[in-house]
Amino acid sequence: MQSRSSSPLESDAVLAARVAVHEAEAWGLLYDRYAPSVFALAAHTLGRAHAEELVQDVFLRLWRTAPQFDPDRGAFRTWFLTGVRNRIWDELRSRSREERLLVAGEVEQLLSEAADPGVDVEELVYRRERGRAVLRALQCLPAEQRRVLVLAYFGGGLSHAAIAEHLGLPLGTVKKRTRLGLQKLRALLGDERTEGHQPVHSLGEGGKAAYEL
Amino acid sequence: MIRELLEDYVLGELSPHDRRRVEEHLGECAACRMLAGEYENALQSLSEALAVVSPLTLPSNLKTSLLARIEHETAAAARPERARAPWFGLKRAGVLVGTVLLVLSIASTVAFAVTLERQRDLRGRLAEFVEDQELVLELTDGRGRRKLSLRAPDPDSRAYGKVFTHPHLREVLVMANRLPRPKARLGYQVWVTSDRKTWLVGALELNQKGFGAFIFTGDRLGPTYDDVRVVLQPKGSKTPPGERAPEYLRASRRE
Repeated sequence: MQSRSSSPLESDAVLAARVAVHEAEAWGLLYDRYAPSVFALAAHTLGRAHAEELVQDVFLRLWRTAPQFDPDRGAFRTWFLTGVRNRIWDELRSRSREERLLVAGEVEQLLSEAADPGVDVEELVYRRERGRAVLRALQCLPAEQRRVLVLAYFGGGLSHAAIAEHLGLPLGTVKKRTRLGLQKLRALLGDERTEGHQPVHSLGEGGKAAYEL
Repeated sequence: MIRELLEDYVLGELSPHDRRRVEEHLGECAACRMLAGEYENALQSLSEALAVVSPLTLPSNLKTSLLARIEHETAAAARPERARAPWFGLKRAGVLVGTVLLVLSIASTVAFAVTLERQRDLRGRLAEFVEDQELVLELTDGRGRRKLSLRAPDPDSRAYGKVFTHPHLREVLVMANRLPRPKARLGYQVWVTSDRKTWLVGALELNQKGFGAFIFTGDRLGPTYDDVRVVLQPKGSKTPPGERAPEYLRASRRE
C-alpha cells in the first residue's frame, strides 16, 4: 500500500472528501487556498476584528459540514465561497447605505490602483497564481465597469439604484455597466484558468447552491 | 429569458418573485446553472484580487489555533457518548469563549451529531461489507484514485453506484445504493467489459437500505473498463447477460 501524500495541486473536491473523514492536513490545504480571500472580503467590509472571528467560524464549520459537500453537484469553491458571501452580505444589509458605499469605495480605490496597467502584476503576486490571473483580468476590465461591480459586491449587494445615485449616473447606465462588467470578467477568467483550480464552477445540480452558514 | 436575469441574480438585484423564478429554473437547466456558477465565480475572484493587494492580511497564527481546535473537536468526537448525552441541547457558544467550553459546545450541536452519525453510518455500512478499511480509504480517497459513476438507465430509479480504482492497486471497489430488493433466487451481479471481453467480477449482497459493496481484484494495476453493468440475474449465474437482461446500473467513464 502506498502512503498517501498531499500535493498543493490536489483538487478541492478531493481535499473536501478528505476533510469529511477528518484529515486535518486536507483542511489545512483548503484553509491556505481560501482563507486569504475570505479574510480580505470580510476585513474590508465588516472590519478586521470581525473578519478574524468570521474566518474562524467558517473554517470550523467546514470541518464539520464537509460531508455535506457533494462533488457531483458542483464545484467546492462555488459551494463554499457563495455560502461565505451570503453570510457577509446578510451582515452588511443591516448597515447604512452610506457606510456600505464608503467601504466599497475604499476597496474600489485599492483595486483600481492594482488594476492600473502600469503595475507589475508578476512582481506583486509572484507566488500567487490565482491572484495573478485575477489581477490580469481586472486590468483588462474597463474601469467604469469594474467600479460598479466592485461597489455592488463589496457593498454587500448594494442595489443598482443606490450605486447610480452615489455616482450620479442614470440607473440604466449602472445596470448596463454591471451586466457587461460581470460578463467580461467571467470571460476573462475563463481565458486565465490555471491548473490546480477546477475549470468550471457550476452551481449545485438540483441541490443547494451554497454552503449554508 | 431567464438567462438574461442571471447577472442580476448573482448580484442580489432581483425582486423576490424573479429570484424564485430563477431558482426554479436553475433546478432544471444545467446550462444556466453552469453560467450562474461562472458569474458567481467571477464575483468571488474580486475577493481574491483584494487579498493580493490589501494591506490587511490574515493573521498567521490563526491557522495554528484553528488546527488546535479541530484536533480537540476530533478528540471530543471520539467520545460520542459524552458529547451527546448531557450537552445535547446546549446552544452553541460564540467563537471567542474558552477552548474547553467551545469544544464541548461544538460537539453538542445537533448538526455536528448528525454529521457524526452520517459518517459512522457510511463507514459502518462499508465495514459491514468490506473488512479492509484501509484499502477502502485508499480506493475512495487516495491521491490519483479514479471513480466511475454507475447510473440507472431507468429514469424513475433512485439507485446509483460507484466504482473506484487506484493506479497503484489491483483491487477495485464496487458500491451501489438504493437498489430495489430482488426476488428470491435473483441477485445483482456485476459484469465488466474490457477489450471486448466481458466477465463476472462479483455479486452485490444488499442490506435493508439497498446498499451493497465489495472489492474484487483486477487483472492489472489500476484496471480500467469500457463498461460496468449491474444486472439482475439468477444467483450464481455465470452466463453473460444479453442486451435484453434487466440492467439496473451502468457506468459511464467519468474521470
